[in-house]
Amino acid sequence: MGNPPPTPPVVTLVNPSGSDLCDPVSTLRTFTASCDQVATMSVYLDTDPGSSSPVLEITNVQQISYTAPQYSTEGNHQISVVAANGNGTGINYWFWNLVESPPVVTRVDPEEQNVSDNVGTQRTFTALCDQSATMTFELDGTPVFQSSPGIQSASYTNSSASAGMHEVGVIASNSNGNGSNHWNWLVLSTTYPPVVTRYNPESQTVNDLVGSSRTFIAAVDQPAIVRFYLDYDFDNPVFESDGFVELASYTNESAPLGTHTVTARAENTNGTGSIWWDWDVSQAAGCHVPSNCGPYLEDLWWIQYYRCGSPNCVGGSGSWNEAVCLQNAIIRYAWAGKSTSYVDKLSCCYWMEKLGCPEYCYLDLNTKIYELDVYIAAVLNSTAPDFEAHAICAEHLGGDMEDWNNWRFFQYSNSNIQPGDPGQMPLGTSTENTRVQIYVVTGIPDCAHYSRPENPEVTFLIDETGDVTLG
Amino acid sequence: MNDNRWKMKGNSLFMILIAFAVLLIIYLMLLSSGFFQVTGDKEKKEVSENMTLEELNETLTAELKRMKVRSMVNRWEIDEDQKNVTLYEIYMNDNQIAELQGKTIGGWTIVVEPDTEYLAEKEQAWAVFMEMEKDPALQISTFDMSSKEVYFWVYNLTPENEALDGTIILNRTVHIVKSPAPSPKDEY
Repeated sequence: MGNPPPTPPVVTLVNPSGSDLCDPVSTLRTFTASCDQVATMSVYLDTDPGSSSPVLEITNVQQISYTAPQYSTEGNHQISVVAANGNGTGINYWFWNLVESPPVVTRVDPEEQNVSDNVGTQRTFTALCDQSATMTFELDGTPVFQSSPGIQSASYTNSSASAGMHEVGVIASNSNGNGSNHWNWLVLSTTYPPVVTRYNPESQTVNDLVGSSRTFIAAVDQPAIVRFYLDYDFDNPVFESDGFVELASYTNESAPLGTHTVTARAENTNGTGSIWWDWDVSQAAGCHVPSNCGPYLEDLWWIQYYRCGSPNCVGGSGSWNEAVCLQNAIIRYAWAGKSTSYVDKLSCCYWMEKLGCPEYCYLDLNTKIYELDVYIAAVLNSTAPDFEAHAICAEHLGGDMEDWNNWRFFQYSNSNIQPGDPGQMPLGTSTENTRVQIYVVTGIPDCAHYSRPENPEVTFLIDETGDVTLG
Repeated sequence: MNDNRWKMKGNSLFMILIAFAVLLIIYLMLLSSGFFQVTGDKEKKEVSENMTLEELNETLTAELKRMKVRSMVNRWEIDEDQKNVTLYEIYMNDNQIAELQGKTIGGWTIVVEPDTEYLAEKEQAWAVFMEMEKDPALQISTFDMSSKEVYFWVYNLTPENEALDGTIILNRTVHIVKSPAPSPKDEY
């Protein structure tokens, strides 16, 4: 049996021992590496060891130290250490990143921000910093631990915190500035699971109309994270409290039709408690179906609400907005007019006749019936009683646009507005004719606005006797 | 002899009448086929090529009305040397632009260009007004604007929005307006 074949030298990173480093710019850093056998050790900075000269080379050693230049700008550098002797060659590297931005601190253990323990439990908090810094832990604002400079990870352990809410903060400081993070640490004197009660509404059964806004408030006998769930979908809470609370509320902006269950679940280190409401959401009486209402939707009167939502008429989301006359005009234009070129926007918009009625899409190509030549008109008169401006729809019936008789005006429950309708088209006054400016719709940027050219297609003037002339 | 002479004279007259009738038929056929229209068109062309600015304005306006794009032409520029009319359009679709681009009316060539200056200013104003909508104190539901005026439709009048009424924002006179309350019956 002969001697085993010689093994090549092995280079070990001694200080710093980790290969990935991040420091603030201008850091003066010394790199030390060792070798498991005597060798010629060489250091290369940002160059390929095979095709360049080393920045430092020492023969017959087992350790080498190299102090890198102080770089004043951000950048990535590579420090390579090569050990070579008759047995062969070994190599190792540091990847050194220099940054100018302030430190960023990340919670590592526990990762979540809200943590709860019982009194006397030992808890260790560990944080990482994205660059070398001095890391300081604080308990309720008081420093309790400070690391040595130039580290990127630190831990703090406590087993004697009093019952109550505490904040464990960690601050990293270096020449780039400060960065911080924190945990909300709940230390409980109780050991039984949280008990949840209905705070508002107190009754288990709740009745609402479709589209109404409803708030559920749950009370907990001890601080806990409270989550609300709709219809037992426990994977997707509809609300989560911001930290440990004893009172939590969830608001549904638009009650969905049907029978639902709203569950409030409170959780901390003692366990979980929950409560629920049976939520019956019904439709109001007297709701109209637009397809039964003709092109002018006069049976709907004033469409009271609109909101935005998912494309392709899948459904609205968020709270309802009160619809003023201009939005009523846009909804009617979408329903009766040549609006299909704006389907991308209009199919994301929804209206509701009144509270408790179903929602309808502004423009659903599957139910689009009418393609009338509809415009939006501004009716203006600042001196008419209880009137200043109004937005209505104008249908061009064909023929000369400058002929008043070739137009039909509609809005709310009036499908043929005539001069003299005080709320929609008042007569002129002794000092001011009522102006009816008819605009072509050139765009629908969202559910609440329309776009038009600078100038109207035509303007009509209504005098105090009701005579109409071209403006 | 006399009879023969009369007979010959009668034949000649008959031949002349036949020839005249044939020529008349040919003329009527040519007339109905539009053969003589060439002269008329030439006369019209001479008139239209000498179209005055007033005539051009009238003809072009009628054409824009026919195409239902009059309001989409924000302004015109006339180059009398080049015999060009540049229409600065807003919101015309591709087909409408194509129909007008390069068209000749009365010897004037139509050039269509987007009114980028107007559109850019409008976009800027739009962004400002949308930002104002986010202010809950102003209670703005929506707005309708031209380059001279902006009407803010508000949910409720507040001291904050009433203070804006009549002021000038981005060269536009501000009107704070509430939707007229709809009549429950609307019996008008």
